[in-house]
Amino acid sequence: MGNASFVIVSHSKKLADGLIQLASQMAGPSVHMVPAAGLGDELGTSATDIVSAMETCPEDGAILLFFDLGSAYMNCQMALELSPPAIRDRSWIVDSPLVEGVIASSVVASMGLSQEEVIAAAEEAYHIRKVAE
Amino acid sequence: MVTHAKSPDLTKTWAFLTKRQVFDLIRKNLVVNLEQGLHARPASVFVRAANAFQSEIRIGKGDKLTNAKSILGVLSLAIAKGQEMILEIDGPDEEEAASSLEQIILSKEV
Repeated sequence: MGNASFVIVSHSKKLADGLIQLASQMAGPSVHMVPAAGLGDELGTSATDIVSAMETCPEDGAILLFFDLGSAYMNCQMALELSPPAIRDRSWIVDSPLVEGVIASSVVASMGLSQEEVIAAAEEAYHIRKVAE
Repeated sequence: MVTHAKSPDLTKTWAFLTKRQVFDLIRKNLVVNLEQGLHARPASVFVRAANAFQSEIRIGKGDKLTNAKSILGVLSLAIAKGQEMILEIDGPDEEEAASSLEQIILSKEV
């Protein structure tokens, strides 16, 4: 399988775009990152927007959905249900802090490591203190 | 002449220490030369480089020491240009790892 792709599901388009800008700078161009954020000019998330974003991801890699808050998770779940099996079967919703999780796992993905390691890096972000102890 | 009742058998102690690789751990104190410090992009370059080696690699500042293969760990140290940092490397490819990582830290830009 190729590199994992990242779908950033956020209520705010600016939040998703800013995070992708930051993470791309660190992970480099080999990691595909795409926003599914905002409802037009309003705040919100939509399952169909998430599906559209997933469809833009390269066909041979895992798709990881990162979300900001509560209802974004529900729309991620709905997006998986709406996706064709060919996409759904290689997609995962990742439970992690949004900024730290995306940065940690996109850097791991840029090293060409397995999707298990990419997801593990994101989930591990819950346990790494922001300020070194 | 003073004689000890019984001198300790040191050979066993040495063998034990060597086994634990206490002596072949590489430890370097480096001053970061990176213009941007070891932050966002340079930090990711450093972490990618560290992950290419099998050795266990730790990076530290002051009394803080963390896994050099974890981007969040390295970022948490917030090491700026001109600050001193510690690199501890232990494993089969420690020599190569040390020279590769030192080169990054001492570069102006990566």
